[in-house]
Amino acid sequence: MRLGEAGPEMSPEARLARGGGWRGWLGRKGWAGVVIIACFALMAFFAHEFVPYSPTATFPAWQPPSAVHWLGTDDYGQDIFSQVVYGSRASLVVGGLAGLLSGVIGTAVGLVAGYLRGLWSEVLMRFVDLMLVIPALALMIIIGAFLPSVGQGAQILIIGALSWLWMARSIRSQVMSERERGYVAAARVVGLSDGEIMVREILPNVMPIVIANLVMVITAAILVQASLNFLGIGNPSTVSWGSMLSLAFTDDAILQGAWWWVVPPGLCIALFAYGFVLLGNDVLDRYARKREG
Amino acid sequence: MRYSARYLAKRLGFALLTLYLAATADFLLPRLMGGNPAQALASSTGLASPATVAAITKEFGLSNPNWGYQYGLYLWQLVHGNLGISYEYYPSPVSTILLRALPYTVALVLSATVISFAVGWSLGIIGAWRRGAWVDQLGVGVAFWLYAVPYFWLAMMLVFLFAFLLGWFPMGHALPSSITGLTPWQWVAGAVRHGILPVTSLVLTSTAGHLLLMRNNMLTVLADDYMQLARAKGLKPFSLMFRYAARSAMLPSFTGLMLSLGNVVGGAVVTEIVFSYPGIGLATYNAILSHDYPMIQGAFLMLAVAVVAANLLADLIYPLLDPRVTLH
Amino acid sequence: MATPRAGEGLERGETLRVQGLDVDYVTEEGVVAAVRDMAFSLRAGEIVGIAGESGCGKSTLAHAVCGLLRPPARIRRGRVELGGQDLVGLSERAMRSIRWERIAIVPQSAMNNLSPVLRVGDQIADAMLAHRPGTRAEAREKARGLLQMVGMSRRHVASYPHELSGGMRQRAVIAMALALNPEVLVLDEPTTALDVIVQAAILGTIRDLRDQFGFAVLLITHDLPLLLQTVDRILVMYGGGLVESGSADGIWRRPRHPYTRALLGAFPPLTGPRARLEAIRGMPPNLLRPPAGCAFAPRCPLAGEACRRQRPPLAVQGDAAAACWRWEAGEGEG
Repeated sequence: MRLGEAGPEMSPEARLARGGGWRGWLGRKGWAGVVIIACFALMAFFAHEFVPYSPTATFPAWQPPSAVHWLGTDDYGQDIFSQVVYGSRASLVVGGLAGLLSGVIGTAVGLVAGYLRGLWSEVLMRFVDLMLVIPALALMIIIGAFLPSVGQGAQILIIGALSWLWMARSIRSQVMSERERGYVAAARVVGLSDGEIMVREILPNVMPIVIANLVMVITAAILVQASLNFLGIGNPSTVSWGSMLSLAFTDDAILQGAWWWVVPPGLCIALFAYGFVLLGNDVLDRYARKREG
Repeated sequence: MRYSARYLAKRLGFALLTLYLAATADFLLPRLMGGNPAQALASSTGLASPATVAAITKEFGLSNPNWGYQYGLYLWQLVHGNLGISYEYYPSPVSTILLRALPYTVALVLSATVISFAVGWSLGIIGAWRRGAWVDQLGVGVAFWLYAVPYFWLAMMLVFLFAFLLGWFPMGHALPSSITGLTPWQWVAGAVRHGILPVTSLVLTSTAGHLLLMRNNMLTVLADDYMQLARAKGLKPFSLMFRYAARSAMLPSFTGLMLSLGNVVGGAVVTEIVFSYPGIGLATYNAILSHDYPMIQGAFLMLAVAVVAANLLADLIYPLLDPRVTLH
Repeated sequence: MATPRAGEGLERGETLRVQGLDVDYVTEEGVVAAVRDMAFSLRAGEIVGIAGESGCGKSTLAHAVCGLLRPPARIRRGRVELGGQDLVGLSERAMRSIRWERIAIVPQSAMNNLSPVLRVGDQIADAMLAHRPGTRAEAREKARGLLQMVGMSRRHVASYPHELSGGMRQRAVIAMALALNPEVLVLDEPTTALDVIVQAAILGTIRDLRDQFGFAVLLITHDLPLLLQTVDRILVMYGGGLVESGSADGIWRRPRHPYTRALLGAFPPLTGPRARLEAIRGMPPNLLRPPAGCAFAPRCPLAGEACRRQRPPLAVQGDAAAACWRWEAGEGEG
């Protein structure tokens, strides 16, 4: 069942360029994701402006939420609300930078392995397949456990270096189909080098895939960072949502019924990551729909 | 015989190569991270007497600073099942302790995987079939949300709600505290009661991925030409949905399932900690706290072996499901 | 004027009759009139071909006849009678029991029409078991016979589609379509993507089976010369409507509509003296905003003022008919 034939083939770039102003970039869910992320970013950036207390100042311990302490206090008597607000910084910085690092590696590997044919790209992908089998979190634990100390920089490096594998595969398969398109052949005829074709011709066309993957990698990085902090692989003196939950767990917040210590940090992690999930899926959806025409 | 020797050799070779890579990483990483195992041992004083330190140093060839020598010795011991001696539980071998913990983790991961698989696939199939209906919107919406929830926090919330507040389930551990005087039936019931919350938390967080993947694959298959013919020839919706659509959509989802195993194992590690569930994850956590390095290394290898073995199994099952895979 | 013989009962030997059929696609940009005012009939044992460029509505017609339209397509008006029973408006359930029992379709790109993970024999057996009680073993045994009938080997019942060539997969789908001995077989572009030799062999097989079982065939293709060699009667569609119909012989000797002539010129003839190969200039009409007059007028070398103003009716002459102002005016005759 075909409704007339498609017109002369439009380059995917031109297709993506169509459609209205900035409103057309994303759907409702995508913008919702952006708003969530932006709220947390503002919270992290202006934490010192509107936090009632220093996150390390102490008050009476185990206070339930009240007008004085909106989210109560922990077993040291630290204000939970202030900690949650400050904790957003760690998630933002580590999740964002580790995600970016992974994104750069994943995109580069995906581009090269997808565009170039030959032994090296084959070897590269075999290696990626091998690494995918090994449980990443366990590998991070090994590295983290043996480092003399794990600061945020180390966390970024560890997470970033081990989270790009899926992304590389996804981009590679997209690049492989992109390589067969007319505009790549045209670029070759014109005499562009492989590097130029990859970066200037193919990369812009797979950008939505890159962005969607990047967003998902950031989501994963946020969650992994929280897990590492929970496991005690991180700097315990840096306030983060993961380390808050770690303390809440080891200091028996549950047995004390201190839900106000357990719920907010986890909810923040989930909500922050959810923002990225919404954004990433929206980008992917729109890309798929545009491809279908 | 469906398998050719070449196919078997290839899959087995891949598995062994992965294990070798994991083992090598296990050997190299601690050394690259600046930790000299002997010094690490010395720094975790109080855990071992000087005599013990000397014994361990000798056994693992740590007195010889040549990495090549240590590496050779390490691999040699590895193939003989020797993962070293625990610092904390000296002189118990790491392998003994971990082998005792392994069944718990395997049971946890396996039951969670089977359940989340079944739930995720069913919802994915139905969602794609009724695309846009409330079932689909609800399924996808909840999946996106669960996708973003950290494993361990969900576990903590479950403990808080169902064990602490409501008291329906035990707060932790894998078995009733006293097992004397229990009938086998009571023992099994106890184990299940202890397992429900950890499994549920793993299922909740890992179902999302299966659902979304299956739904996507189903949508692709439903748009395929052969679905049109299958519909035209008069098949009932049930047969269309399962025998034709889901049967094909299952294949890429199956690969995805196996690749996600590593993730579930990671999730199990933190979930075990929250529930004090005596598996590899809890052993790792305790080892991190007490700087029991051989134990950390051993746990990593043990998890890697489990995942690689599961993948190898999947590689052997897959050709039985997909006739297009030529086994040559 | 809609149908040449509107209102009459089913003539002797007629199995399928389509009357005044309009099919729309309801899209965001508006309603597309994919098929309009389509009318024809099919006698038992007859092979009728429908020709036209892609987008002319011929595939939509095939789906409408088999009750396979899905939204956004819908039948706005008209009748599709099978043995006197109107199929338009039947429930999905009712249609499901009629389809394959009495009218079967070999859909477009039939090579991709088999599930890659089920054995060919089982897919044929599924069609039988969906309609009639029986065991799978019996159905499989019958599938063996069907495969043999369409020129395959009995052991292909256990083959997977990827183990078969394109032509064999095509034959397997035909075997599946014939599984319940239908009165009408609809073939939608059955031989596109196959090479000429295989094409000819498959169409030969279909003719032989028609002779043997007496079902009627509706053969839809963009390849008019192929029809000339295969079918008894030809309908030419353009822009969703019928522009010419007649016997294969008549159309070959004396095409009336300029579009038919263009179609004949657009393909290299397999036999005969026509040597010139011409592409038809211009694009098929935009069915979202169809031209007011004759749909072909914008591309027609003979188009005049009248053609652009008003749509020509289908003028019947003996067993032939054409919708062209110029032909009636006598200018169309070359």
